[in-house]
Amino acid sequence: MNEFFENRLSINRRHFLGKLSVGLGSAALGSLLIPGLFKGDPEDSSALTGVAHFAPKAKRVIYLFQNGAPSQLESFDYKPMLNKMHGQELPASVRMGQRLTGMTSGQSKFPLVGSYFKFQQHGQSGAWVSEIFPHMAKIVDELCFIKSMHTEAINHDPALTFMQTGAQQGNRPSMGAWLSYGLGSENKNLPAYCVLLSRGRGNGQGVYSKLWTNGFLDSVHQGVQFSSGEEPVLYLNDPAGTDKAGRRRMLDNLAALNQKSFETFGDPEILTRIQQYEMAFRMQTAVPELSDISKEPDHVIKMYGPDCLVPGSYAANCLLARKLSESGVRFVQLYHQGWDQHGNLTGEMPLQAQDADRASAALILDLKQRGLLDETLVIWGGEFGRTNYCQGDLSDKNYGRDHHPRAYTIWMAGGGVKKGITYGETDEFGYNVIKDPVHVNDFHATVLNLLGLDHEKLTYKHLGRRYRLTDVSGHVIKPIIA
Amino acid sequence: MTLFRKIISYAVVAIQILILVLLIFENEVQVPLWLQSVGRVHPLFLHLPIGIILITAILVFLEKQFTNSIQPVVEFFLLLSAFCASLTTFFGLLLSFEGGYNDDSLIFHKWFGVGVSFICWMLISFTFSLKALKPLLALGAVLLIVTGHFGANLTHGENFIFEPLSRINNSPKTLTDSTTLFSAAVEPIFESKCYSCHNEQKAKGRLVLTYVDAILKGGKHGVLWKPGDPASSLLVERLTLPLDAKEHMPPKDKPQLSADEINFISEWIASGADLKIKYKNMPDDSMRISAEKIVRRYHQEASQPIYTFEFASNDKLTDLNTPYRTVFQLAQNEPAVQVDFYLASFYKPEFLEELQVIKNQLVSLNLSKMPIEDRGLKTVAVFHNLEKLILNSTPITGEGFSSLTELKQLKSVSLANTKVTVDAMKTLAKNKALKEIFIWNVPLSSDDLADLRKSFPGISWDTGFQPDPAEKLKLSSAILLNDGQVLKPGEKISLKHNLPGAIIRYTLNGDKPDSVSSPIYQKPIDAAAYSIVKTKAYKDGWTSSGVNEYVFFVNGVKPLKAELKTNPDKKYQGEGALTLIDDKKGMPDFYRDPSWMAFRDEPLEAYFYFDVKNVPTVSSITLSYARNVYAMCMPPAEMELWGGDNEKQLKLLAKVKPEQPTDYVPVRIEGANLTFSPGKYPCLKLVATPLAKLPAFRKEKKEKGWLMVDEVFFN
Repeated sequence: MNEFFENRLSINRRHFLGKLSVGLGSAALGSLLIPGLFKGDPEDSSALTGVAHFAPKAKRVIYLFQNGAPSQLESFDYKPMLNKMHGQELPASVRMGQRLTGMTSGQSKFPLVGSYFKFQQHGQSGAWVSEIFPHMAKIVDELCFIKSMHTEAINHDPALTFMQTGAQQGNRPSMGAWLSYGLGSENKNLPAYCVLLSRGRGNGQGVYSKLWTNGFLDSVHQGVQFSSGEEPVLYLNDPAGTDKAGRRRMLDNLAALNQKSFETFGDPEILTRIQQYEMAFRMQTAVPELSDISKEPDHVIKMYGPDCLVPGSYAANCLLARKLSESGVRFVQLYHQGWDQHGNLTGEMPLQAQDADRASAALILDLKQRGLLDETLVIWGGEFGRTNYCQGDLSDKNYGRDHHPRAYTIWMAGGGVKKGITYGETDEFGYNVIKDPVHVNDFHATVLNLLGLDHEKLTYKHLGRRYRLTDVSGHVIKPIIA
Repeated sequence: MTLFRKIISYAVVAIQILILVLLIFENEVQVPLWLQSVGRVHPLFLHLPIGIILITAILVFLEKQFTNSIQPVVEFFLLLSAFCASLTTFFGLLLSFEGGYNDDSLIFHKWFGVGVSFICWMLISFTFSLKALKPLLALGAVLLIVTGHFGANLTHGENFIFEPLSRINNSPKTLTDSTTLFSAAVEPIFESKCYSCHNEQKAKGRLVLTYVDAILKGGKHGVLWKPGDPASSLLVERLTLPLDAKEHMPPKDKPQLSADEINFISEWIASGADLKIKYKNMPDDSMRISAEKIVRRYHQEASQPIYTFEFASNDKLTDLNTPYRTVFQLAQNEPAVQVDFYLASFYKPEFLEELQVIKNQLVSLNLSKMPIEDRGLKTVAVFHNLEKLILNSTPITGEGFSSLTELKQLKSVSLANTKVTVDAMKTLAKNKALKEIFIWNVPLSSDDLADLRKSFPGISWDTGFQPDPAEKLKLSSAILLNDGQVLKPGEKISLKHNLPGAIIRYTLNGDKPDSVSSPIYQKPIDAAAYSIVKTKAYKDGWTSSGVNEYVFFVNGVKPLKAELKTNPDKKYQGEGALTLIDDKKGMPDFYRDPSWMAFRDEPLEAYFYFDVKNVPTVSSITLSYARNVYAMCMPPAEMELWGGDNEKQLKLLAKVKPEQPTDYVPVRIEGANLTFSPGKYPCLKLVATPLAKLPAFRKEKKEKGWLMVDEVFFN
């Protein structure tokens, strides 16, 4: 049935009967005989959304998505065996029938290729980091590496969609939307879910608004994309010639009209619209405060690197992410493009690392020095890994790597995650996970858990069934939770 | 008797005889396939006799409710009862031949069912008074219920109705540190899936699963498992046999173990079937993950709330929430409350004072950026359960910190970006509960800090990131404020740099800017009809930025009409001549867009016509093209402009050979510009020749270059 009509029914018959059975039933019998017998599913109670299920370890998330899939083998998953066997064929016993993308399925040989960049151990935790990430190397003791991530998709769009929404097909609510739905907004003057995009200097892959969609959730939970120009939120300023008081009057009258139309049609999207206008009005004050970089002290600029002065750069987005998060935005989603090194890996990856390294590390330090790191969860990583064998021509100086869904590395830091640990392990070829696999659903379950949400209880009923971010799967990875 | 009654009565007799035959020759009868289908109607049909017999009994017992005699109605109903009951019994017998049912229940169900149909038959075979009917019907109803009960056991399993109740009484099992893996994950599976047949009373196959010793002893087929070897363990074998196999456990009609449960049991046996290992102490391996799945299913997570004080009412919390102050209960089971303040320009001291109504619940308070002064800290001091206080970027100096020393739960205070003094820090540190203080970017000397660290070693003093003074970073480029590369007439070129103190030097003549001779940008730059601006940013203590180049066109006058005398390449035709004057600029590297038009084999030859009554003065023309060496899109080899009153009377106004790239250069849109003596030309002719041969550095140097154009500007 059309959801619009369903809604109208829900405020009459169904609502009434539902309340009647739950209310009377539990009052008369439930509480006297068997506590909890008629209580029903707690998930049915919509009044409960907006408050965590249990005490949260983190209040906010900043997800530094490295779009295009950075190679784990040139960043954090050190595999000297690949250097030793450089140029030799990938053993079939390792590949175990893993499917290939259309880009390498025509290749007759799959020569193993070791990292061109040198690795070294860092910090108390002794984490291996490659030389192109010198700033992250300095903060490894704040990080929790997950080296056993694995996914089901082998191409960018489905893999990205899977990481963001828990489904490979589009139109399911993304992580940020679920959090906004589950926890509500901390700051009523900003969207609960903000999206920042930046282009790298390597081979890029697109990002689309379906990645930050509210799906079937109420549209207030949709991610709001901040643009990379001087004005981060488009059309926020009043048109020329309007004053604040006039704007206020206009909004009041508009709200009255919308309210009338809501009373006639009962569509909850109309109420959403009223709220959105009000929030936009307050955003006119809140956003200029955020986008003003000139008030940052010189050494903040030095921390993030001078690129943070250029709107739309990854560094500028990291700095803006810190400000948004500090201002109570539940979920700040960054996408940094350009990590798709099918070829010219040794040429492109250092440039990408240069963009991402300093600013990502700075974000952790900046949150920490403000006492906010323990309540903010920062996630860094891509949508899948890259193959241990070479795509295209293999030379001493250059090579490429194809998509690899079976194993990749991400890191998390801050809110509720153990510091300076590595979870999971791949084989010596960096191809298969041999210990503690973490599926994308498990990752989602864990993130929700850190924010005080039970991934099995955070549900939304749509088209006759209850949906979750983790759908019918997912396990909280308890060993990484502090 | 009416005909109808006759037919029904005889039918009942016939069916009863059939039933008798089936009962007597039970072991000799083979039911043909088509009759099996008839038998399967039983579960559907059986509801009819139940309903009719019960309604007949109710009628008889409530006969006083009726003024007329109900005898005929009752007789009619009895007739129907007998018919339906007999038929149902017959179907049921057919169904029973299919086998696969629990023997005990089936025997009871069969004989009680036969009994019911026999009684019904008797009731129509003899005439009874209503009074005599009562006990017979009562007996029938009781038999019926008993039959129904056994029948339900057959289809739904035993204890179907009361099973949820028993779960409620037994379930919330909470896990303690001493709970073994066996009792946390194995026992619950046995309990829910096996106990009903393998308990001390029933013990099918002489197997009892309700206590450990009996489990280890096994049943008549031997012990249940071989530690470390699930493949040769009886239990795993029975669980994993095909569902139809006779030996499969639990029997087909009983609730089955889930795949996760079978998987966990095999893993547990593989790991040695340790009965002593504690659930909480299990290593982090795949068995733990499997065990967690089981545990989650059968146990309530013992989520002990952290806070024990009373809850604040929902109304209170709702009232306190405003756009400028968010008041959140930490979790559904936690009374603790978190408060955050936003939008400094709307802040009022009352906002903080109003929080006194939740002074017991407030554990986390964020006042970042609020114009709160030290006096305001007195209010904060009443929040006696406060654990975390964030005062970053506030105007406080710390004079009011003495009031915070009484907060016995205060563990963390953030003071980054404030003007706190060392004395204030010493006062604050007297609070013994404090674990961490964040004092990044505060006016404290390194000596002060060393002193604080020494005097209060129990506190972590976080001073944050300190830049390395020796590190010289490369300055970022200047930012262009103009929107795109097409300027309106009179529009100036505006630049800025976001780092205070950075200067921008620029050139307009194509030279690289330097730190001596190039002018410093102070105000927006006047643009020529076609300009290339190069910028470079400088600041002391930083390495200068790279050079940035920006190309600008000025959109001056537009002709009324354009005509092409030559044909563009078939693949990139744009919108014909209109493409050149439609004000649509393409993207530098996407040529399928109709704002682009390409010439390769023929030169571009276009005529432009102005309104003859009002011919504007023109002194410059710029052809905008894509420079993309990678895609062989090159500047024109040569460009000529002709002008005059009409096509026939044109004279050459200017001619240029644009510079060709000598190496791979970044992709961009640039222009070929011609300036000539100002004049009014109703007709202008532009000829631009594509490059005949690519430059030497390209691999395909023999090939022709593309001339990719999107617009012509007139000034």
